Amino acid sequence: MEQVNLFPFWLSLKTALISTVFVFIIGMMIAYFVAKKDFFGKSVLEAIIMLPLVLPPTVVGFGLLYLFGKNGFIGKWLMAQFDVQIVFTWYGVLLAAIVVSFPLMYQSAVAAFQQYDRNLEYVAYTLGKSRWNVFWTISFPLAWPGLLSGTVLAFARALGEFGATLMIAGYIPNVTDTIPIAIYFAVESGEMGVAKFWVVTIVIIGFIAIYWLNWWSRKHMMKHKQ
Amino acid sequence: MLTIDVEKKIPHKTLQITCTIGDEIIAIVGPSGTGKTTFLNMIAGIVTPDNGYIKFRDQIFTQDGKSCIPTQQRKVGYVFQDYALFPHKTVWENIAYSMQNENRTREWIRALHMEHLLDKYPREISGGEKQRTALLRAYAMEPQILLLDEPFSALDERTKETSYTQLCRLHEQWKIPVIFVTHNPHEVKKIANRVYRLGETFVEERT
Repeated sequence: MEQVNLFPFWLSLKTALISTVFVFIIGMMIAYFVAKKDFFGKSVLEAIIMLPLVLPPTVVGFGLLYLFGKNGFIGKWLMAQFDVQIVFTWYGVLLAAIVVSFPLMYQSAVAAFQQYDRNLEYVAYTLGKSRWNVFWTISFPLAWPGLLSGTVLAFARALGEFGATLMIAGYIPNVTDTIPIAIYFAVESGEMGVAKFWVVTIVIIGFIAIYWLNWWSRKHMMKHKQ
Repeated sequence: MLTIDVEKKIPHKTLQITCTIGDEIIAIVGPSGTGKTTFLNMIAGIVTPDNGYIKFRDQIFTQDGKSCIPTQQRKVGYVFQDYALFPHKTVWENIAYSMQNENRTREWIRALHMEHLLDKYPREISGGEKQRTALLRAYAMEPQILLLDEPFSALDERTKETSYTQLCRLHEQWKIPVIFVTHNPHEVKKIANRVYRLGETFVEERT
């Protein structure tokens, strides 16, 4: 087998970890707000958040290029203000991972915050606890299984992201070549050994993530039953 | 003194409640679906009335459809009909969630024969034990108003009698308004100072 450059592994891992942290925090905050409040335009906001899940990755990539490209509305501003370029850089890889994995975290988190009895929060309020305290002592632990499930799915999705990443970050060896992109270009250039190596690697990571999640959920399911 | 003069739209009717409650034990009776729980929720601040006001001592809880004091600051002990025990906390952690004094709380726990259950989770105890846990949790915060939504319905006769005595004793000590919803006439006779019936209207019943 040809010598395999491990850069795609570290890049994919770094991207998936950082995007998951971001998606976890922001996804949880928005999901908590949406799950508890009714407001004008709620359905529209939810539809926009969920769009990347149903759109072809190329469409998402095109949208990102349109917004974050050199002539894009946000891209121009970022360049002028912070001298930051998104297109064809690692930031583009990260942005694509965040956008495509966000709906998975959001969807799981909304369901997690809606599935327990709201009276549990109300009773905690009657016991004199602040919203912040109730969130950390009641809402978060009760929603934790769903939040964790969303986090693992978002991590796996970020790790496997291909289409949108290729559109916005392209294929620049040792800069933007994540595992899925490395597989595609290895096959294209006839390096089947390298492609097989990355395929096996990503299948193993995905399998471990899902297997662990299922095992953990079963183990902790009982604890949260009334 | 708890003064209530409120209106609240609920499915099929508009709830109109006017009453003044001193430091006494009040029973609320009436058929299901007439708004008894909504009444308790309005005092606790979980539901805001559409019109009117709720005043307690020198505090205005709610006025003209606006909540003036949030639930967290009302110091209302509330036992929900479905107990609302935190499923991820043990019986002790539930009771101690907002406990004011550990010695007193442990005394109440002993009186209700709950010592052996403190390390158990709500899913591991019976309905009656859950109800006692919910009662103890409300007592442990040492409230200024106590709201009880069918608090003794799942208890056996012996535990019911002990619970009545304990509630009356605590009321004697605390001298606070206690409002409890019940369908049990024996309970009313045993512990209530006054009774209100909530049906089409809200009226005081002569006992």
